[in-house]
Amino acid sequence: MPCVHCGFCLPACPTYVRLGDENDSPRGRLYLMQAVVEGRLSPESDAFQTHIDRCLGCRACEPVCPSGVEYGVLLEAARETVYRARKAPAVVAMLLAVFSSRALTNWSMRVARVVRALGLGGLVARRIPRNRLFHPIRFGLAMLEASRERQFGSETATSSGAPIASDGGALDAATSEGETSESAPAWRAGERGRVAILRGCVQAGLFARVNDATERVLRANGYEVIEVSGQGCCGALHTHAGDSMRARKLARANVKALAAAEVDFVAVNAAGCGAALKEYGHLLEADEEYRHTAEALAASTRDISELLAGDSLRVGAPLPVRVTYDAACHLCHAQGVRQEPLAVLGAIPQLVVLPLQDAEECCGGAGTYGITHPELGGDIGADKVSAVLATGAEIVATGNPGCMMQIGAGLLLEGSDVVARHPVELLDESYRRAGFYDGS
Amino acid sequence: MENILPEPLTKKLGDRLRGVVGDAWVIADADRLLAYESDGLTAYRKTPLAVVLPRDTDEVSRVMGILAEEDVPVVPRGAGTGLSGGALANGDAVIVGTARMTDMLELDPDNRLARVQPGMINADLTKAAEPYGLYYAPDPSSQSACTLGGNVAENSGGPHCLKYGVTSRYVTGLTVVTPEGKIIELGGFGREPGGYDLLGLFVGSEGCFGIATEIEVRLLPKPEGVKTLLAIFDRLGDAGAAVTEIMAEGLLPAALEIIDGPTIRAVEASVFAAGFPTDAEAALVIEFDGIEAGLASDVERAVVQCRAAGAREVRIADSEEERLALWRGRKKAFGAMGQIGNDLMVQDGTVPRSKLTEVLARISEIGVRHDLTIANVFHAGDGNLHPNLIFDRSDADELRRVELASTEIMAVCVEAGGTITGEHGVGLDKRRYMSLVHTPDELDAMRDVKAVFDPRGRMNPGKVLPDLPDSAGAAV
Amino acid sequence: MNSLAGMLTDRLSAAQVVDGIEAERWAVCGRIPQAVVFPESEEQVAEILSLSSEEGWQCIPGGKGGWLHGGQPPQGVDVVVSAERMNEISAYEPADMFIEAQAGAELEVLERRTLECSQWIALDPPGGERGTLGAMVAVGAAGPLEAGFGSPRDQVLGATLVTGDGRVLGLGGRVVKNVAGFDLLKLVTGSWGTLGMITSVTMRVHPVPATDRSLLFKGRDPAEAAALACRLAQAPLSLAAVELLVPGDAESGANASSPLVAVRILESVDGADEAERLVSERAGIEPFQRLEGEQSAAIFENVRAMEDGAELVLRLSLLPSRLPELVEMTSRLSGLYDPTEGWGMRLAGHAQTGVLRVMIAKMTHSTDGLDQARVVLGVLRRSLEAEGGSLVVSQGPPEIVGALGAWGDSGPVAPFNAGIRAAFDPASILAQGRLPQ
Repeated sequence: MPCVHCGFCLPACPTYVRLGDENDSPRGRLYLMQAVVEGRLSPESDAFQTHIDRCLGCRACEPVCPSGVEYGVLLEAARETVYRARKAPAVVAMLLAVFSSRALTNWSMRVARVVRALGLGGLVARRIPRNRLFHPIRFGLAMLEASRERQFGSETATSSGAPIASDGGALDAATSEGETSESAPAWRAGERGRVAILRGCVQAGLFARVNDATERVLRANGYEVIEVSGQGCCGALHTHAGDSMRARKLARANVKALAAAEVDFVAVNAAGCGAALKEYGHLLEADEEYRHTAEALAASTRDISELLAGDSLRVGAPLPVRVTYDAACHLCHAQGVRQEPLAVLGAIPQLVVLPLQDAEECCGGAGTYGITHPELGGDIGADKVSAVLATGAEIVATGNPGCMMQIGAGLLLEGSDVVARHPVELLDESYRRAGFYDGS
Repeated sequence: MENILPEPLTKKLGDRLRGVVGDAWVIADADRLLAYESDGLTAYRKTPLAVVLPRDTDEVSRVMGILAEEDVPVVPRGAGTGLSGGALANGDAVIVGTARMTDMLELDPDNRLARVQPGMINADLTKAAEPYGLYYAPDPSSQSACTLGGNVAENSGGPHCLKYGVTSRYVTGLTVVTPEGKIIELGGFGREPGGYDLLGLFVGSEGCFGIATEIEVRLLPKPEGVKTLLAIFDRLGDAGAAVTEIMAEGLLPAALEIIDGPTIRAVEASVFAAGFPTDAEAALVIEFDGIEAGLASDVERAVVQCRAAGAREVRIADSEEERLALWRGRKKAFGAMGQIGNDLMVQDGTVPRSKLTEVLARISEIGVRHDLTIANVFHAGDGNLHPNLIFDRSDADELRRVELASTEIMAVCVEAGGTITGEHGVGLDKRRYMSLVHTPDELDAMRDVKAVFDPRGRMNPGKVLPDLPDSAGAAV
Repeated sequence: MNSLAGMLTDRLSAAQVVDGIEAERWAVCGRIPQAVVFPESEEQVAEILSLSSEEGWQCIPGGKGGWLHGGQPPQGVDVVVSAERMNEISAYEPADMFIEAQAGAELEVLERRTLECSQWIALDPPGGERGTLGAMVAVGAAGPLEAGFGSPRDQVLGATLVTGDGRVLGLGGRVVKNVAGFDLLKLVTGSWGTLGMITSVTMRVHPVPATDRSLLFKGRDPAEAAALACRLAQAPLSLAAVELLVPGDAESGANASSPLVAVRILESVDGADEAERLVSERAGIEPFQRLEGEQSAAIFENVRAMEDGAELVLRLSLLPSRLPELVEMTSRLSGLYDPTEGWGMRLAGHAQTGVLRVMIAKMTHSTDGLDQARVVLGVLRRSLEAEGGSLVVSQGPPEIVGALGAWGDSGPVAPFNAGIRAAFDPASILAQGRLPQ
């Protein structure tokens, strides 16, 4: 799809908005790509590499493009060009290597859990001096700390009083208490189909609780959950970094494992992985052997909120908390999933959703961005953190582990008590209190 | 259309500019200047000497002062969404961009006034004014991306100008940096300075007189009610006739827009599909706004006129959502042309609206004769036509035919009592048509007035005015 | 016949030139021209101005002479060039919503013609309907409707201008959206004849609204009325006009009343009722009078005529929300006139644009009185300018306007004004001194 240079994407781009350089806008990057194709610009040039690198890959430009330019696809091709022209920075190269090997992933996640369990993360993160040199490690530890499971604060968990008043423009997503469980249909077990959960790498390593919650709420809503072994990292990180060879290798493994399970749906609770799975057809289009299975897998992939949202979603017990919802880029822009996560939150009585300014703007996490572009990523992250704090919410809900860690780390370093949770975790807690899991 | 590649920026000039705005905001290496080769009109490519991105009036003034001392030409640029090549700079000129000047300086709801930096996006102003029940009226179709500074330079219009008028009616004051770097104030709400309406002159001067660095605008109270209709026609001419009849009926809609068959199909193929039937040859979007209670009768009369003109279907948007979808479909139509072809030459002529049907037929005939796809999407109520000529830049003959057809379309508009540009500006592209609408004396008068502000001819050189007949080199 | 008139007669015809006693009623700020000439075509205007450029005659372009006594006095007055005999309507296309006429056409004539097609020119400048189209554009005059429809600069689509050296320039066109080149038309609107003589004008017309309704609210005193006017100007709807009207101290007859706020609603039938409800709600009081149709129009016709017979007319302005302050400031003018002479001092405030027109029937004319007036007005102007506002003396005794200037200093833009003037009038023969440098 050709870019007609209309410029409608400029204000949608977080990097352009902050930097003002058209080379850091989607239109500018497409122009650079075009110049490389035309042979006017070398793929090894600093201009090409810097500005392609500096893209968050958030794809906020896609929904505003009238010409339908598939920016994400073109970006991946450009990243591949950059990747071939130049080796990735050491940290990124290491990450890519780690995540392409299941053994290494498992090992590193175990180490991470140990560090997290020792509680070193938060402590050290806050004590490491704020300067550029130490930023990656300081922020990395904070991210780790942000992934820690925390109980719902006792003040909210035990409060059984009146719902928190929604102030100003707050959307009261909760239904009144009276209709709580009566309107909720009790599904017969498994009647809505067989589902495999993509366990993921980071998700399985650091957010096992989100995977567990996903499994429970799916069961409570009438899905049969199948355990599928042999699956691994989705490869999104590699695709985004331009390492499509490894990405394809990982994709093939997943296609093989998940196709064999003969499920109706693959449920994904990490937006980035969901977007990647939905694009497997494209990633493996040149692979005669895998192409069709990949397409079928892509077609059966759903974000967890897509499987849940709808009239049939069971309503749980009241959870009187103030929540704001951050739309993960790979959910709203890449998958076009916007209303469903809000519908999930809407099934929790007394939970108040406070509108978040620029909710659909990238949080700056963007895979390895926080490591490769600490300053710009930091600025973007800081804006998200202030927007979250401005809402007065106690919890920021977002459907992607990277975003949970990025926003959570930012909040932590700000000294805030606001925590990042997956919407499914909140629904799970609401179900637990409703007794949906009792006796199971 | 030859692109003169720049000599690299001298170190001395580069250092002086970096000294004002900071290292990151002077773009001078050839690879990074590529992105600034074109604006919204890709038929032209010109690489600037450098791009400078200042932050405020003071920085602009210092940058302009340095460029004046070094005798370097200057081209102002906002978001680069213009459609006449106005923001392109030859290799000897520096682009001064407003991309970092995006602040709201003051919002005064009591006086319905806002003061903004020129890089603020048009739609962001309305967003900021909304909590006070106010909005900014001029709404060019690119309003989600174009800057207010660009709107001032082009005296931008938009669908709702039919009732509310163009940008010049809403700009009440400007802070301007002259080509020599001096800061002057023009106009200002709440005062009546003597002398000529320099403010009115500056609006629409396409960056040829100076750079506006602060803009004061009037806001309007949001209309209490809005009603939007969609009438579907099997013939484009019938839609044109409906427009004439609606106006003759004494109605004053807020907007009257026509989207022709090829455009409908492009829009419906895009993410902004609005539900226009793809087998129709014209969709007429009619909007009334004002006091809610008064709208029903207007809508009724408009429906009658549409039916009489042969509309096969008239729909009234039931919800705000449906209404916005119609407008998204209309406003993103230009970008959606990418769905039909690779390259696009969008024309912009105005004719008295009673001549619409006749002129549309002649444009269609021109398209057939030159074997070109022409898609029309336009502000019918204002008689402001936007024929989009679809082509492929790699096809030299097609490009040549696009040039021929464009020239003929312009001539048709002028013959009908209209003009060569209603809102996109003359820029680079339309200079060659200026003599169709202006006598040599009139063009000289414009030259004289430009020289008053810019005696050395350094501001946006080679734009708006055609070269003098005796000067060397082709116009384009 | 003087020699100047003689030379003009040679070029045109005896029937087109007057001098002597007949020229007296064409005095410009009290100065009688040597000749008044009545061209009948653009070509003749060009010829007269070219000749004047050669001879160095100071020319004042005019219509029927209604504005000649106002504004800033020119440096010299040799010839008044009147457009009176160029008064044809050259084109009127109701469907295209424009009317084009020669500069000497009376506004009243245009009004009648457009009304036949249920259209109107939405302008109500001071001076009444006998004024000419060209003069209205040349002085850029607007009235209360400016808030709802814009001033002439927003409603003039095109004009033909004959420059000081006799070039004929077609500016703008017949369509609303037109950005083909620099907008020289804006310069001409409000140029007071200094850039050339306007010979024809194309105006935008509007459909006549179904309902013309005025709501009149009473205020106990000017301050209360001004506050009310401000509140109504901020009402959340677009109103055609919100006008503060303070009658003269010694007003008698029909005009004698307390201060008023007149709100003009131009809407469809149902819309007008709803607008009325919103306005009354905002006012917090009921209107004491409600006028429909011609009666509604008539009250605003009266506003146009308020300057008639005034010796001093001022325009004070600040941001609209500060209208009450402007009203308050008029107390500083109390020493400048005798309230028992004529009707004293009237005020008319455009609450949406922040302009307060002050009309004084008769000034105190002792030498001291005029000196005092100069001082008081000078101080008032400076204080308004310091607050971002302005004071314009749009009409007054030459001793005052001459000394103070109708407008304040142009400041840093003065060189641009001078450059523009030189471009249009290289021989400096047009209304020199009529606008500030």
